[in-house]
Amino acid sequence: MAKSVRAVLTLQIDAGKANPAPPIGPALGQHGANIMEFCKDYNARTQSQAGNIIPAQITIYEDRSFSFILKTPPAADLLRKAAGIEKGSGLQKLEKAGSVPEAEVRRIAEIKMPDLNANDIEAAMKIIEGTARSMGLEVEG
Amino acid sequence: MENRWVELTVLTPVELSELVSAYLLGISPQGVAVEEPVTRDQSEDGYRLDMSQPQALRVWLPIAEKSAVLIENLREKFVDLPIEITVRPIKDEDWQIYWREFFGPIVVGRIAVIPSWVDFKNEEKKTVIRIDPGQAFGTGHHETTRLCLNALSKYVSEGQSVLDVGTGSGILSIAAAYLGAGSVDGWDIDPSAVKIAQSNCVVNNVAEKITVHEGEFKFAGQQYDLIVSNISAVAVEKLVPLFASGASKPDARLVLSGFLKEDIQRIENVASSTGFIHVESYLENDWALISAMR
Repeated sequence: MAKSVRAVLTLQIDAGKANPAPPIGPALGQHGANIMEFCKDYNARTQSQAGNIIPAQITIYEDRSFSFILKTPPAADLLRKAAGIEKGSGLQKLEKAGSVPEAEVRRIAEIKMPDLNANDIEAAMKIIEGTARSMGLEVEG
Repeated sequence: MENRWVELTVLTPVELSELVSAYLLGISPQGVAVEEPVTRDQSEDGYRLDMSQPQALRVWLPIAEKSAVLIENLREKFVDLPIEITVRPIKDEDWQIYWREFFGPIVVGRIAVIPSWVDFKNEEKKTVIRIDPGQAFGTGHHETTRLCLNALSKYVSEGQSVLDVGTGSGILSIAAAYLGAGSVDGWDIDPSAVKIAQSNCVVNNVAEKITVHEGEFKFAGQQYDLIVSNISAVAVEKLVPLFASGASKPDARLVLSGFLKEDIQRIENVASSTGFIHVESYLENDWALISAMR
């Protein structure tokens, strides 16, 4: 019999830099999960990928124990890097923020494939293009 | 001092999730939390993610920042989309206090670690450490803390000088003092950890034996019988050469943890390149501790 699940959370956070401030503190604390234990585990498992957002999908059980798996970086973060936009800027306005070459869209679609609801690379690229447009990025080529 | 935050929740259909989270990461670069819609079922895991239901995307903004303007912009930007935005103020102690409810006593070897808010009947005559972790590492609930407490129970002897780098809540320094160490120097780079460690030393009546230093560990002439460091593979790898070049007595013992068992080789390599030999290792789940001597 599986343990009873309380919540499933995905945290989009910086690899190797987890700390008890928001979003981790309140997101886990509200479910009674041990914040520090998660931070230590996450940092140990993502230390080699510093500089990227590596989402962690955390399953929290009714007894407050938890387990987590790592996911691929958010498309927006990969697109932001491909377009050379600084973190925390540009995205608020979402208008003509820059451009990304189609080859980059393909590369990002390949990275994201395991987590996307897409049957083939073309469908995955369409999803990534949609995210790019919504961020104010033009796809070139 | 309490900090106030605005919790912003955006209920979003799954197909718009990437878009909304991109926007939220723009206003909250430290990260976004997504509560996945869960349906309980008869499968092996007992649940599945139900992508026909909306996801709740959440960020926390400091009230001091222009959160009202950011939220107004968000409403305007997504006015045509089928999303639902809710906002509520919270205090940072809210989530810390909630978490306390599930934080119980831990017994490791001769030591019992008891949160300061828990009543404990010491029927087995354990050495009791009272810990208020606050926002510092070291509650006794983590595998590596337990591995270290076990190792200290085994290795610390009367009158020894002990160095604890990455002291966090102060738990290992306090344990060393209780186990007979004559003097303990704790170090932490996090100023709030230093304050928490100092107050835990006072609560446990060992403040006269323990000095907690703030900042990166620096060798200041003092040599130690036992050096413990429970941080991470990256941090321990950097620290071992510092321990080797001066801070350790000729017959000193290093107790190193905070890393996964797959990182043992890495730590062993740096220890042996600085003249230490890996003498023992202990594992708990995926986590490792190694003890080394010259």
